[in-house]
Amino acid sequence: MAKVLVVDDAAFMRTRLSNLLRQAGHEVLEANNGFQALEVYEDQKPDLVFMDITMPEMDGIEALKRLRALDPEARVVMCTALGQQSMVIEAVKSGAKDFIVKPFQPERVLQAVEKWAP
Amino acid sequence: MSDTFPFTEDDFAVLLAEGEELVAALEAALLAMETSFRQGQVPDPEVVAAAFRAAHTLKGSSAAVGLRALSALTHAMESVLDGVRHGDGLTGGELELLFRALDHIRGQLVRLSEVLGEGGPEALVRVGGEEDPRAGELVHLLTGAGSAPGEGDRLPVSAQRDHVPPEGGDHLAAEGDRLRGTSERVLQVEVRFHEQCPMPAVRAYQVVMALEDVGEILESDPSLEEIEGEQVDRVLRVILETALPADQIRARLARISDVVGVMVDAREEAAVGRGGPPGEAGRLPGGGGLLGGYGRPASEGRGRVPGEGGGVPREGGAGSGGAGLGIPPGAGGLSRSVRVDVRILDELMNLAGELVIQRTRLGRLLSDAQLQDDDLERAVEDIGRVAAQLQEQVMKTRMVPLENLFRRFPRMVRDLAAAAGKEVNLVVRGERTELDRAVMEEIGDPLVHILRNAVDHGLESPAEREAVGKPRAGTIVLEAQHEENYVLISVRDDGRGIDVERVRGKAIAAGLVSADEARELADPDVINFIFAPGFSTSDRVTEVSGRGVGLDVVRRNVQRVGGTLEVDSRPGQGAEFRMRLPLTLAIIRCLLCQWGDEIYALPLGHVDEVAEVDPEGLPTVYQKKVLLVRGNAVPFVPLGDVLGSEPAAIEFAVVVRAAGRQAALGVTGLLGDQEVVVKDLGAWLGNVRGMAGATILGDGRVALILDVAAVLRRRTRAPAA
Repeated sequence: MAKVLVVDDAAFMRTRLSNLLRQAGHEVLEANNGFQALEVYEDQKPDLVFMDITMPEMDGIEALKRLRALDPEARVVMCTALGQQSMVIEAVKSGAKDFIVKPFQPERVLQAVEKWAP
Repeated sequence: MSDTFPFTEDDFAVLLAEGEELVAALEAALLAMETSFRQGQVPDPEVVAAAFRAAHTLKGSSAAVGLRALSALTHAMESVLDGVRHGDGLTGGELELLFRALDHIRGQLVRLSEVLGEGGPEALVRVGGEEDPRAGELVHLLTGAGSAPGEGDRLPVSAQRDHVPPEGGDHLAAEGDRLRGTSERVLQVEVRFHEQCPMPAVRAYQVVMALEDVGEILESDPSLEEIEGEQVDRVLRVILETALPADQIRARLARISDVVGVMVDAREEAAVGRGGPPGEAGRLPGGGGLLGGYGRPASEGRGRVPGEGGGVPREGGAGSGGAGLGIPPGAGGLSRSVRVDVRILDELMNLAGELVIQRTRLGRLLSDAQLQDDDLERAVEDIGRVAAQLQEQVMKTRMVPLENLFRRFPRMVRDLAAAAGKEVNLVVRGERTELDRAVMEEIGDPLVHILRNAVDHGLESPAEREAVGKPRAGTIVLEAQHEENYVLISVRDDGRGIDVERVRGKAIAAGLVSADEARELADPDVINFIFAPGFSTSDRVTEVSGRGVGLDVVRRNVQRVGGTLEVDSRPGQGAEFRMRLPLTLAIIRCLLCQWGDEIYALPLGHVDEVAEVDPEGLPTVYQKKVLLVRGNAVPFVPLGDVLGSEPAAIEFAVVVRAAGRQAALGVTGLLGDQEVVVKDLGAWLGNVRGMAGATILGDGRVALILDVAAVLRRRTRAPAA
C-alpha cells in the first residue's frame, strides 16, 4: 500500500480521489494548494503525488518544479482536463511521471498508483 | 473542476464534429452488419470491431465533457457490440435499437452544436448534463434486451485487432542485436499510442524524453516542434542512435502509459525496401501492419529534432522514396488543416475571378497599344498564368467530395424501404467525385426526394417483383461522375418504370394538357409532366413520400444552381433520374451572344446547338415561327422580344433547353464561348426575372447572364391554344 498525496483546490475532486484511493487501501494525504503540498510533502515524504494543474496562487506546474527541486526523486502524476495538453507537456518536461485525465476513471487512477508507487 | 473551465468552444466544436464522424462510421458498420445478417452470414469481425470502436470512442469523449446521457447511451451500445464481438450474436430487435440509439445521438449532437453556437461552452455543458428521458429509455431497452455478458468498462488494449504485436520487428531487431553486439547503432523506433489516448502529444513527448535518456535522437516524426504544437497522431517514429538493446528500449517505453505498441527495427533493415519498387518503399520487412498504411519512410524529409546539428548522416533525405512524396504528412487530417469561413472562400473566389478578368483586359489594352514589347507581353502572360492557377486553387478549396452528402443515404433508403415493406439494395458509386459545396448544399433535398420516389413508386413490392420474375430485392444505383465542367448524378432503379399512360391520364385530369394534345405527345414529352407543379401519379399516399412537394420543386432547385434534371424510363425495367450540375456556382461556361450592341451570356449547359437563320424564311405553326431542328419544330423567339429591346437583324438561332422545354433564341451575333465569373445582381437590382447574374468581360464591358429556365417558362407557357 502506498502513501499518496492528493493536491487539488477543489474539495469535491480532492475528496473523490481520496475516497477512491482509501477504498483501494492506500494511505491518503491532502493539500489544497501548492504551498501546503510542499509542506506536507517535506513532512510526510509520500510515495506519490497527484497534482492538479490549475490552482490559484501556486499552480500545479510551479508546485511540481519546487517539489522536484526539493526532492529530485519525487514522483508526481498530474491531474488534468482535456485541452491542457501543452501544460501537461510542460509538466512532463519538469519531471512529472504521468498524467490522468478528468473525469477520472478509477482504474486509471489505481493503475497510476500501481505503476509509480509499487 | 468548476472553478477552472478547461474546454474552449473550439474543443467542443471539434468534439461534436468528431462525434458526427463517429456516428457516421457506426452507422455504416451497423448497415453492413445488417446486410450480413440478412444474407444469413456472420458479420465481418472487422466491421463489428469498427462499430465497437466508434461507440467506445463516442462514449469516451462524451464522458470526458460530462455529457452524461450520451455517455450512458453509448456505453450501452458498446456493451451490446462487445457481446457481438465475442460471438453473442444480435437479434433484429437489438439491431433496430442500435439504429434508434444512433438517431438519438445524432439528433443530440445537432442540438448540442446549436446550443454551443448560441450559448457557448457553459450552455453546452449545462444542456449536455440535463436529464434525457429518451436516452434513458434506450439504455434500458438496450441493457434489458442486451445479450452482452459483461458490464463494466473493458478497455481493450492489447487484444485489439489493429494493434498487431510486432513479432516480426522483434525478431529482426533481436537479429540485429546479435549481429552487432551492443555497440552504438541506429534504430528505427515506432511507437503506437492507444486510440483512446487523451493527450497523445504528452505521450509522444514522454517517449522522446525516455529515448533521449538512452541515446541520441537523429530524427523524429512528428518532430519535437510538432509534438510541442500538439500535432501528434497515434504513431510516433524516431530514428535513434543508441547502445541499448532493443528489448530494453521496448521495456522502457512500455512503462509510459497509453503506449500500446513498440516496434524497434535496426535502421539497416529499415532501409532495405528503399530504392526498390515504389510500392515497397517505406514498408519495413516483417513490420506488421504498422507502417503499411503510411507508405512513407519515417526518415523522409521533415521533422528533425532541433539542436541536432547538421552533420548527422541520413540516408533518407528529400530525394528518396518516391512512393511517399505528395502524401500529406502523417499527423492526420485534422491537425494539418485550418477552418476557414466559407464567406472568406467566396470572397477569395471573387477576387481571383476579378484578377483573371483584369488580366484579360490588360492583354487587350496591350495589344491595342501595339507596343511591340516582348518583355511586357511575357509579363502579362505570366500574370495570366498565375491568376489562372490562383483561381483554380481557390476553386479547389471549395470542392467537397459527394461522400459528405451520400453518406446519409444508405440509412435513409433502409428506413424508407422498411416503411414501404420493400427490399432494397442501394449501390453508391463515385462518392469521391467533388463538387462545389454551394452546389452540394442545394442538391441534398432534390436527391432525397428522388430516392424516396424510387423506393416508394419506382420499386415494386417483393411479391410483385417475384411475380414478374425479378429478384425480391430491388436495386437502386446512386452514381456520380465527372464530365468536363459538370458532375452527373444519376439515380437508377430496376423497378416498374414510369407508367406513361397513367401520366397521360393524370396530365389531362389535372388540366395540364387537353385530351387531343395529349394523344399527340410523344412518350418522353408525356413523362416530362411528372415535373409539372402539383402532379402526382401515385394512387396511394404513402407514409414517407407524402404529398406536398412535387418533382417540380426538385427540378427548380436543381435549375437554381444551373443544373438540369432529366428522366428516362423503360416500362417494366426501371427509371433513371439524371442530374447535371456545374462543378461550381462561381464560374460557368457561357456562349456570348449579341443583340444589337448588347452582349448576353447563355450558360453552355443549356445550349443544345447553334444555327444560322433567316427569320423571314422560317415556317410557322399556329402563327408562331418555329425552327426545324432535325425534324422537331422548336419555337423561335427573338432574344430582343424576351428582353423588350428594339428589333434588330437576326442572323443566328441558339437552341436552348431547360426543364425539358426547348426554344430557339434569335440573336444578331455570336462571340464564342468563354468562362465567366458570375456576379450577383442582387445587391443593386434585386431579383431580375430572366437574368441569372452578370459578368465582366475581358474588355471591361458588362454582360448579363440569361436564366434560360426562366426565359423558357415565360415563352412557352403563353400559347395555350
